[in-house]
Amino acid sequence: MDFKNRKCYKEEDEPTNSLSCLPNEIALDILSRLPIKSVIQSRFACRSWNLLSCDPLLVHMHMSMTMIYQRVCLIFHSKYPLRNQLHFLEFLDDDDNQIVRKFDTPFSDFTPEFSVIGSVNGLLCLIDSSLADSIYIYNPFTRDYKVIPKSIKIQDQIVMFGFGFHPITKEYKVIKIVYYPNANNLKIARKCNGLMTSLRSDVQIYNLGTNEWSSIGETPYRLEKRSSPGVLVSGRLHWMSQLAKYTSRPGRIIVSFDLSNDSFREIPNPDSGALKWTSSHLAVLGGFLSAATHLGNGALDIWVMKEYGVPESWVKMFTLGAYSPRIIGPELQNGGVSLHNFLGGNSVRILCVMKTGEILVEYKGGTLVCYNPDTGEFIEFKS
Amino acid sequence: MSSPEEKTLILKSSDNEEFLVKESVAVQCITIKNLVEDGCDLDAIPLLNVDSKNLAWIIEFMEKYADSTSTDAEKKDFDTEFVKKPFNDVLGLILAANYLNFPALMDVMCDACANEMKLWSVEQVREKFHIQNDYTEEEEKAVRAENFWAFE
Repeated sequence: MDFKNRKCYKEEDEPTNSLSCLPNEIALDILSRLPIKSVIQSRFACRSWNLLSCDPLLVHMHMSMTMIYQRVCLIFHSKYPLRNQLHFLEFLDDDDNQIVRKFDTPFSDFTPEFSVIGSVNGLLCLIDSSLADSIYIYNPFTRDYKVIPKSIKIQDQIVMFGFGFHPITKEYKVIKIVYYPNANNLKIARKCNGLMTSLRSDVQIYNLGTNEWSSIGETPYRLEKRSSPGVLVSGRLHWMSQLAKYTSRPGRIIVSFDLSNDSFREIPNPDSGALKWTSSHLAVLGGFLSAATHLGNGALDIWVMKEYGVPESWVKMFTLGAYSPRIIGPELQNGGVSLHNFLGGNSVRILCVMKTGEILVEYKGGTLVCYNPDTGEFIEFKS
Repeated sequence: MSSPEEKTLILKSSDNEEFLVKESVAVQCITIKNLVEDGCDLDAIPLLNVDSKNLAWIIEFMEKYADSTSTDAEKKDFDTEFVKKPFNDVLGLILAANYLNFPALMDVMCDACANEMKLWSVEQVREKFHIQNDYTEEEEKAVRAENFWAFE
């Protein structure tokens, strides 16, 4: 597997005397406890530290410490003014002034705009938004990246994406679920945009280990475009299906794709009759599969599946009240920008849970808010 | 299960000082535990890579952690005070804990080391770890440029 590497990592440059007399394992142990900003800064000390910070073992150790310390680290992709701005933010206990830091990609010269398909274990999966459609897997901290070989592109296709990693097979995969009209039904399909029953489908899988695309053919599931990219929990990617009138099933269901055996499964919804699931989105909260149902006015019911795959374990954790952000994001500020497609038409989305138990929520326009489920308090982040 | 006389071990530092430690306390160090289980017959266990200064501290730590009456909160307070040492001593303890394979001490000392490092500038990091800056001027500029966002 060849990664385009910005540094020349030669065998003879193996770090030998890092951290004065400390052996590498200890040096890595210490680096794994540092916030990412400090790990990056440590590169600047000397050559061998630079190499040490790119040691693959450090990724695993840092990930484990992140779980233990419950650190939250976010990467934002901003679409304004151009869809290629990446920003990094790490929440530290003792730092009230979190700074959002902008960084660029090594391929920004030939890929002016991209969308983020997914992220796992610190790797980002990006797709070139232009017709080129190139997919990259990018490590923002070592600046290594890989261009994935092109996959089959079908005319008038609608694509659902997912990028994931399975903890047991240890494979990274990119999933493309493509819906396309039958050649015969082309005219009808174009008129009824979104009517998916008459569409064919093709599930394409890219395996980073083999560097190859393969296809497992059609899928009976019609997935909701807005739920792309899929949400990764326990080595499975999840999307929402379309509404009943477009499928033969009542209501929406959650569809999972197991990355270890390339198979689809349905995740049962919570049993509560009050749940309509007309408009909801998926997220991962504290490692659990979560679903947020929109109640109107930006209010959300947050459900969490405490035991994966067990329908009885769905718990309604809390309800996020309606809230209008005071701070308006740059996209809305500059006016005239259509936000119809933002968050698939939804005005609010849950991102993750913080160490304190507060929930990070994103509102239309890009405002970030921290919600405390115990007190019901909303705290906005100043951009 | 407690025997009338609990076995005591003699631990000998690299500078030939001897310390008496109960076996049940000393086996928190996996290196010592392995020696004991392998039927080490010597009068005293020589610890060639640990001097008396570090060994005394390590025994203090071991005894606190082996004490079943100390609560988590008390241990935390103890840790906070324990790590208040000059940085060179912190590094020394990390090396000793690694040699003795004492996970609890490693955890506490590495955390302490990381907590101090977080606050330092690059120059301070070099000074404290006694690192020589071996970058050429061009290399230094390149590394700064690639990672500029961490310095903002």
